[in-house]
Amino acid sequence: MNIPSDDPGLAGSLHETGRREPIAWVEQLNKAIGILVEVPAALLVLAEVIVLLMGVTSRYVLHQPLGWSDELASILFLWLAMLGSIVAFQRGEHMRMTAIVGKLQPRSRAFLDLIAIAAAIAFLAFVVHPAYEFAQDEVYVTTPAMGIVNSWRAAALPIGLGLMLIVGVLQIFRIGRLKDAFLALAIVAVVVGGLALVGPLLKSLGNWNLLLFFVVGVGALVLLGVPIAFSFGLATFGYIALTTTTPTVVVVGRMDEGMSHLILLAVPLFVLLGLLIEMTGIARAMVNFLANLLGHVKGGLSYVLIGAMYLVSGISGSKAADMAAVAPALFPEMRKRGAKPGDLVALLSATGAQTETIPPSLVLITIGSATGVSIAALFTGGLLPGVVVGVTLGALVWWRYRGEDLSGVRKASAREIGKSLLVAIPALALPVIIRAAVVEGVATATEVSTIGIVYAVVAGLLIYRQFDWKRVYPMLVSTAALSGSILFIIGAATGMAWALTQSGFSTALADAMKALPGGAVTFMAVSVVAFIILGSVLEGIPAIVLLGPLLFPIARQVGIHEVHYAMVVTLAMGIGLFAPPFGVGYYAACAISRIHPNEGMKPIVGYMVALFVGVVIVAAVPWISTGFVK
Amino acid sequence: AEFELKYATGQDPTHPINLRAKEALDRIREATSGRVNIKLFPANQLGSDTDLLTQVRNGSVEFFNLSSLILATFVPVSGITSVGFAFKNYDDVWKAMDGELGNYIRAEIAKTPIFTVSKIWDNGFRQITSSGKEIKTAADLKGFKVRVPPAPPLTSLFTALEAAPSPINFNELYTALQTKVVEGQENPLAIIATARLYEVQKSCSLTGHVWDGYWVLGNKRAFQKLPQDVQQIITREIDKSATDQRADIAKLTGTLKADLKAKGISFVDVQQDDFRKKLAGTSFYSEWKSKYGAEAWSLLEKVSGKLG
Ligand code: NA
Ligand code: NA
Repeated sequence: MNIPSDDPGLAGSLHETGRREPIAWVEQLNKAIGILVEVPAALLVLAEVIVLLMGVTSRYVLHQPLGWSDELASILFLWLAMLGSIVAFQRGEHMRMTAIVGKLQPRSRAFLDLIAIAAAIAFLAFVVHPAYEFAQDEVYVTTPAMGIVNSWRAAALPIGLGLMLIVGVLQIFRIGRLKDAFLALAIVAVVVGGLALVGPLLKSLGNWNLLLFFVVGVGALVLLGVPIAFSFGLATFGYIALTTTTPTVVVVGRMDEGMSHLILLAVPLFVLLGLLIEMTGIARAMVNFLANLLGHVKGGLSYVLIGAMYLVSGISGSKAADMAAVAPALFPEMRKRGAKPGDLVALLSATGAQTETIPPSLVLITIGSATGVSIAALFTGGLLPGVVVGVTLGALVWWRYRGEDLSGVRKASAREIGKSLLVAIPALALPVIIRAAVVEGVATATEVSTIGIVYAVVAGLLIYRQFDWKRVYPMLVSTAALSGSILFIIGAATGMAWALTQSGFSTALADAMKALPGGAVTFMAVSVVAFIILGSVLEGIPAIVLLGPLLFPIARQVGIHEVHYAMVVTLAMGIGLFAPPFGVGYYAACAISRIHPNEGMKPIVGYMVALFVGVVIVAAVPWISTGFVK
Repeated sequence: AEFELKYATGQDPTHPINLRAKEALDRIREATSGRVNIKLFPANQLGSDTDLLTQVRNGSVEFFNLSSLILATFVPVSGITSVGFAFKNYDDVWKAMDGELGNYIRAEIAKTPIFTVSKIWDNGFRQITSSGKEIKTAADLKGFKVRVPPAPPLTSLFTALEAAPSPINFNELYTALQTKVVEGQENPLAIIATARLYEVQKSCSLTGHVWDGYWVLGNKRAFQKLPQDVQQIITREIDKSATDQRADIAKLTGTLKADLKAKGISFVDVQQDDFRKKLAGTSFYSEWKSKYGAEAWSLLEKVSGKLG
């Protein structure tokens, strides 16, 4: 989730009051690093599409599978993830919770932004050297398929983290006054130094350290607005360095694995596909058709919003891209008809949560990579739960808009509907093609995004004649940045999960949950509540990385189908993610629709209740999730 | 406890590997009167096999159970256990692995920051399954789309046999077989059963084309910090569990075949010589010989007979 919230991001706003003049050479250096990182990042996104496409073509068309394509894709992927996180860092797009920070006075808020950067700098300074050691050690390992030295891949870590450190130092002096920047750095240094001094005492606390570092520490950092990835990273590094004898290089190794799992390659590719369908007019064709079909009934455009989000979600992997594709096409007309801005943003947020399970979904991809459940099975299972929750949302819309005045609304003629359907057919075909390619064995669920990308490009160029070449490069860079910010969180969460697991805490938690009376029902109920909270505070994906490997085996043991459990958990997380005041997704919806967060607070309550009812139905009826899964 | 250590594996908690490892760790705790507590982390809880290999090298975990096929990315000669159609049966395997060839490999591993704590554990012979045509002879493999893990001894074997080997992530294997992205795959019977591949495959050819084992790797620095007597107890008990685990797999193989047959898999017996002959006509064996070196190769051929 991108969070262009209405609060200045990490990089802050250059136009804030009380700012001094920018220092010329710092600005130039910052710009130079930007180009140095963005160009290869964009090229890597392109390279991934090409490599995977070659793999699919070679296997399906030429019957000559390539042995090296997966491995090359995975090496490039780590570089893409690292460079993408640098771009995200420079743009202030690393996910963070601004619910509390946003309420503060501009001065204090600006200072907390500096603290956030200083904390990130601390983490990066700690891991750069272990990352260098890690990469150096991989000289002795050869990759299985291509037989090259594994340092080609591992070098992405020290180089990426090193560049990010430089970017961090530049940012803190770019956006803060000199005095404030030094003060922020000093405060972080004092906290770190203090912890290092009491380090020997901490060892004797045993497992209480988990509470200290991962509940108190992570909690404080997240609430202060430090990006989630850096909060996790700092807590994990501190815990391992101060309370265990384990070498800190393990943090880097876990980040490596977390960020470059081949299944996660679907993340950038489906993000790119989401941006493409907006740029090529594919999304618009869908929205127009639905609007012609339903526009004249009471609450019609709200149904269109729900339906359009469902369809667009069936192509794209990114919620931010979905909302960005649908909202601008619908909101002006809805406002003209008298819809209240607050209700619009509330419904947009709710549809964000509703469509979380619709394949391709980044959360489902993460579940597949973290727990080993088949992505293809998850993609099949996710279709109906989205419909069920869509129906509960629709019921509320019907109730709320039963008195809507439609006197100014013209019903589209059958001819118009037919014409817009004709235009929409190539667009409506895309989700079908994506599913068919997986079902017919053309491509795996990871690879299928590339087929969608090719289709979208061809449709944009030849059918919709809407293809702005000037937007291609910025799109590739945005894809890298958004993917980088997601993957960096997954990497940091993977490190944290290691620390929790090796302490024995994870097994204890799993045992406790298994021992709950009431079996499957209680387990499901507890999971729903837990994931609503985690989705709200942590953004869903890290919660999956932390808890997925623990909870999915228990679900299996108490007799819950993994795909069913995945759907319930994903929807519950969605509620948390899109529910104010903490949910990051809610602020993304506000930013995309340019509506102030305060306006949606009241109308969203009803939609959240409708979502919750939908989740309960999905949880109670396993068939909704597993009916089509073998 | 005085010594808190970690022992990681990649197998399911109910796999004989973990049941026997747990027994060993319990015996070690008892024999050292609780001074040594080794915690078991099964099912890749602490990371993927490749990352755990890095962890045991740098001491993030002290013990790690790894397939010799994957260890070959770090100690190349360890892959020699997986030379196609080298071992005809378990007698051959144990003669080589508990004898000179095993000692040679263990010495090579010990030149790095890690070492082998015990004799090798059993992973099993790999067999080919198919959803379409049955694989009876080497000629049947021609153009056969088969999923193999990205390990050179296997990809090169199937390439030499003119099949079309395709690396597909294990998570996606079931669906890839179901949707016929690939026609077949190859794995030990235990995996074919636990991953429910019998639901999407029809026949299983008992090729036994490759044998693979698990080394229990230890971090040298961490191990040498332990007192002599503790080191001896650890080695002794893990060695004992290796013997027990080998017996488990032998027993399991018989019951697995019956189970899979009941689930609709037809078993096909093949002539291994046919495959070996076909390979001998290619540069397969000579290439691997030059890769592993003449010394290791001669130790292998002492058991397997002349290859190529
Ligand atoms: Na989606
Ligand atoms: Na794949």
